Amino acid sequence: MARLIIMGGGVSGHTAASFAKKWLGNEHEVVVVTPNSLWNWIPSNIFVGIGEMTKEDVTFPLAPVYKKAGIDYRQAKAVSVHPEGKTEDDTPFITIEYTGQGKEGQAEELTYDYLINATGPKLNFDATPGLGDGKGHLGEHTVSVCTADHAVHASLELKALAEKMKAGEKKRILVGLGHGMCTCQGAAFEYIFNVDHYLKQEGVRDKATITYISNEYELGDFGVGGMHIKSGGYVTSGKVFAESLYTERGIRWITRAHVNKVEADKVHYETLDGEMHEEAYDFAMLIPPFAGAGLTATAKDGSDMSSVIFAPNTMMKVDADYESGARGFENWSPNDWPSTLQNPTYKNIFAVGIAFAPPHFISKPMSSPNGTAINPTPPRTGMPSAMMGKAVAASICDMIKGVSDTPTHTANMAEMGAACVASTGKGLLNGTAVSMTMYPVVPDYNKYEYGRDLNGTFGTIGLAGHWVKLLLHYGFIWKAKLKPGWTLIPE
Amino acid sequence: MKHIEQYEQSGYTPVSGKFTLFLRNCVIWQIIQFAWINLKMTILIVKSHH
Repeated sequence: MARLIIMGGGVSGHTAASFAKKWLGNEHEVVVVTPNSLWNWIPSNIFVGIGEMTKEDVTFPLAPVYKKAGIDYRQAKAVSVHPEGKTEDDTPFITIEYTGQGKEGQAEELTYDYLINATGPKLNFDATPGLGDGKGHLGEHTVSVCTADHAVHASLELKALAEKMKAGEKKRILVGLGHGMCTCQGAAFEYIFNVDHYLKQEGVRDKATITYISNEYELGDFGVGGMHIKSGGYVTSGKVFAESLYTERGIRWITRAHVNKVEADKVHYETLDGEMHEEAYDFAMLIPPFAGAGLTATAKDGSDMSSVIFAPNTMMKVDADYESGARGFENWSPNDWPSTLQNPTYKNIFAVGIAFAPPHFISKPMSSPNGTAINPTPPRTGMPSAMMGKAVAASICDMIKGVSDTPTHTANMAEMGAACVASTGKGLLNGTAVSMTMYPVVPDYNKYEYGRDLNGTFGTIGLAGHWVKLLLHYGFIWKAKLKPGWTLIPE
Repeated sequence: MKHIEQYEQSGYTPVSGKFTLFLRNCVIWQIIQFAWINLKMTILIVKSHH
């Protein structure tokens, strides 16, 4: 019997665990180690953040789902990886520290035959002074929609703000990215439109100025270098598409910005030209930068070997070309990106989603004359991360069953697409959405004139996208609960 | 209602005309769009799995 351990129970980890257990059956063991007791459909946190959904609408307890599936669930955080085992025993293992199940604070060693790192991001609020509380958590000045609890807090703050506006006060709302090296622009993009929608519903939109602040070079970059779509007889940049959306909603935007300090009523930011600015606010939702989960690796003799399997940001090294970053933006290639997501040193270790270390940015690296890096980091959430989870699970199952000694499936971001639906409203007829797809995520200018397949890259606005978003919400929660037919819902 | 401000950001961006705005909420047109978006996404998913 082989044991597969998956560290992390988010979109990629849960997908990997679910499929691995289905394919391996009871002959082998699948263990999930995650510090959370609830699974969270993170894309719908946006709706929680304006009070249109509750925390219960976007989360569910993991324990009963894993019990039904036969997956060994440990509510614990992974602390360290020991890929060579101990002096007296070569069996690799990880150390965990329980956060629930009545064993809070207890440490344990879990041996493995195969290991998937799906730990997701550490929300690095403290990277920007004032954005965090100095202890790694969200600070007191701004709100976030990165977790369901954060989103509940955001909705309460927004509701209180709306009440003041109903009393005649004018308010300044700031939504965007809280650091020059953030990813996940899509979340801020969707939240700002939902705030606009909420304030219109409350009848106080005219009392608010709404501003978007981003580290993107232009609107529509999204950390993937932007995209081109066919529209009205033109092949046009997504920048035009995005700016149109903001203009139609009366939302002002600030781009090329690194927020370097957050205070109670204003943010300080530096722009690519090196100038320093301030933006006052009464309500701010700022996404933090992401970092690795902070795992360490230990050698057989007890020495630290984290640099062997982790990049400096503690994201895990996989089969990417990590030398390619130094070759410069003009020389980057789709081949730089990992395919099997297998660690090059320890072939029984894989990493998926945010947990794998990308070889370089997708957007062009830029910095101000002061040396401040201001550009989005590559997005690896949502649809691509689920695809990675499934592909890695398939490879490992084939390796366990003896079908192959090497990974049999790939999930290369230069060969996969992504869909993003930014929706406002919850009702069937009173919502609207921006639906976008791109193929591939990492542009390939040797293969496609505009970097991507124009037939697979498109954007449209309307009620239909809103229906798609609702379908995704209910469909993916159904799938994640492993209810009948869950395998038929594609990731 | 004034949609743009000259010499401001909004003065240089395209905005939707009345017919486009109508289509965004026209249920019949959006049902067709719904099918189209789902087809596009399905093709995308099929092409992405390796």
